[in-house]
Amino acid sequence: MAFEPTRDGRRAALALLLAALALAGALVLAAVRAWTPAWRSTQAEFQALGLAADEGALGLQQGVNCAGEVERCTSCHLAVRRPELGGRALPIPFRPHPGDLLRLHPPRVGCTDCHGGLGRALGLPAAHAMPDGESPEPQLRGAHQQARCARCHLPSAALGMPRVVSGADLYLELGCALCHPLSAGGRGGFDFGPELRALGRRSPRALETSLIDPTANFPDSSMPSFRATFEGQPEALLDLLVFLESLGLPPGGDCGLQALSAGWAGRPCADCHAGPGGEAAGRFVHRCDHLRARAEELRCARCHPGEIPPAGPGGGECPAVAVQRGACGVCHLVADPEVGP
Amino acid sequence: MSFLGALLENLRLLPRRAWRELRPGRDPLPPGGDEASRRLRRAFVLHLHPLRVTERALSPWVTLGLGLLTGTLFLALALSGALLMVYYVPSPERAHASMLDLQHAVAFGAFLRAVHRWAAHGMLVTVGLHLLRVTAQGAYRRRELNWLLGLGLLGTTLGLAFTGYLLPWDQRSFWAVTVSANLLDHVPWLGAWLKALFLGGDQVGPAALVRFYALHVAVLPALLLGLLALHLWRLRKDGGLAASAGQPALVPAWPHLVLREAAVALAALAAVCTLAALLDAPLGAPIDPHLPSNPEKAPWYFVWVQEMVSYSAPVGGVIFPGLLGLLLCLLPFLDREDEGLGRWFGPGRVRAWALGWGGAGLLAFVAFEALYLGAQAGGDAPASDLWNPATGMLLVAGLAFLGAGTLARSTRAACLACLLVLLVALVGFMAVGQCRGPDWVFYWPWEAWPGGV
Repeated sequence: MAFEPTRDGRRAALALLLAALALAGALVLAAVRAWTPAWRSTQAEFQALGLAADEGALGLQQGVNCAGEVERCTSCHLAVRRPELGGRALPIPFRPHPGDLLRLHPPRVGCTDCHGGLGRALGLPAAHAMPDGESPEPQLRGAHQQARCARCHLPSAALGMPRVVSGADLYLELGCALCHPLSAGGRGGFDFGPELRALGRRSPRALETSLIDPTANFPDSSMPSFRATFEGQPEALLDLLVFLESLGLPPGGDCGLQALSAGWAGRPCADCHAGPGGEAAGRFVHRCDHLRARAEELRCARCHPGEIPPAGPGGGECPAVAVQRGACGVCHLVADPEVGP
Repeated sequence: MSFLGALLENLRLLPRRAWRELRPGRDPLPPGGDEASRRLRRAFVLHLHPLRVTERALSPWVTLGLGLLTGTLFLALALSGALLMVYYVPSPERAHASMLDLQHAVAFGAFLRAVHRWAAHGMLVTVGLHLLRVTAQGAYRRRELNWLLGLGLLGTTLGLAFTGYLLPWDQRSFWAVTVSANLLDHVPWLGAWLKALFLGGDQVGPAALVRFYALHVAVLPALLLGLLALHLWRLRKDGGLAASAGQPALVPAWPHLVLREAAVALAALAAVCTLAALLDAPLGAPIDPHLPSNPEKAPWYFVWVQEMVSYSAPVGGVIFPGLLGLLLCLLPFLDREDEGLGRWFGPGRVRAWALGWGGAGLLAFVAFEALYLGAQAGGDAPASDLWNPATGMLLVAGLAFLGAGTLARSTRAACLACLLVLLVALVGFMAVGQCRGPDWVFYWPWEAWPGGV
């Protein structure tokens, strides 16, 4: 076919026009998607329910938590600080914070300080950081929530952290501390497992895997499996998990412990939580003090429930300590009262 | 005329004069002489093209527009990348947080990320296909320098993709770059030194993030722009499309070729923007150096090396990529035949043998992998440095080189057959590597991985 300049020029121009229209269409599509994120429809629902107190409370909400990290949780959880909505049956993102906890905490404490999750992200599942259940710093739910209380508050059953307290006992009873110390640069016994002071940033699922099937996370691990130990003992497993999740430093800065004790209600923690009696708000025992005291108790009492026998001819050598280094719980079930020498 | 009158007259003529300055020369071109060369000097698009081109240059089936597509995608990458730089912070503490900001709070941030990602994947594909097209049509002939410049552009593109992979600083990118950097361990003598140079240490950390960022936003784009300018300059100096010599150039480049190119470029941008508007770029969990993902997988364009390294480190990490690179560099010097230039796979005799050996390579690949994966599933450890699918395919490639060369009595047939076998191996290992699950066990795409990850 002969080349006809005019017709060909028109055809080329038409192709260019169509391509330009396609590009414009794509950009319009992108704009529509960019301006209709999921949190906007959540806010529209909120408005439709007649709950929006004023227009200013809508739009992208940003705050800063104790660690200085931006969080945008209240863009969807719009009624968290509106206790007057408490009595109504509302969908989850629109419910006010339950209980008295918001009032009892300083206003600088952010959602993620207690609940975990990725505060900068918006929308499920990114914000709750559980796309695969393996994210570090995931949103903590149910009993796992107690782990976050223990980041700032000293563990005490009276403060609503019973699982952290009994989990700490399990940590000692099972002999975890033999390999995994809780001290800076500390080295345990046996094959020197890593220290666990910052373990709490792991997801509950990764921690559970490490207990039940240690080589699944780390193929070279020589850690024994605790599958048999926790067989049929979901409560004990949860206790230990919550304790492990609680391991971490409290946030620094404005909400740090020092600032809290000096600035919150104008009184140091010890005014309410220590000293004679101490029952007013629950007695605090520092995590380290608690662990040290319990370790001493458990050291002998586990095999010798009554009186501790005097040192024998072996110079006080106890086989359980000398040979097994006290790691009885690795093999003997936690709840078995018949464990003997 | 008064001053005011002159000014008003100039203002009146301003739009027309501005348009005349900007337009590329719409009128029918004068037949050479001063006027034509004046226009040529003034019009930028006519520096990329001659004033007149052959009719063949207008056909989309000659080059498939692959070079143009690659350039367009690079433009999209440069634009979206410049905007992403405004928000991205290359520090280990802030990198993932700034990605979350981009993804969730910045207006069009998620769109920009997706454009950057889709354009990057697209550019890797088009740059690879461009190389294949030039190879298959023998268009490297008499263009040795430009062929080498093109290989340099391919390497720079891979470098850009790889350095960009780390920047989101999430679990996926951290472990992908870790496993890719560990591939350097298998390079003799230089490997450890190169790894330390790129990572600033022996593992991926803050130093690596800053180095990758500097390479990704400054060094490599500058290198790519320089090479691209040389590439286009050589293309023009070498006479545009290969194998057009002797054909009459009768069609004015403007508007016939330039409008077509603009249409292809806009269509490519439209495709990237549509994809980006519909599919977000993934962003994984913040990194945790103590929690390796399983499998640790390199980005798809390096996964073929990883797959071969799982058979044999020296063969997969050094010998196979080294031989492939060497063959590509030497290609325009090994084959000097002019017959069938510009035709897919050359003249009929060459085409038959080259494609035949390519098919044989495919059969050999399937057989090798079936044997290997079967033995692996049976619990044997079948791989040795001497006998594994990678050495098998190298052997077939060598046979194809000698066989096709001898049988077709053609250096082009030898080179094409050998490259086709290596291509089959590369794409095949890429596919098998993509099918690897936890502990590098093979799973079909429709099989679920254990652990439900």
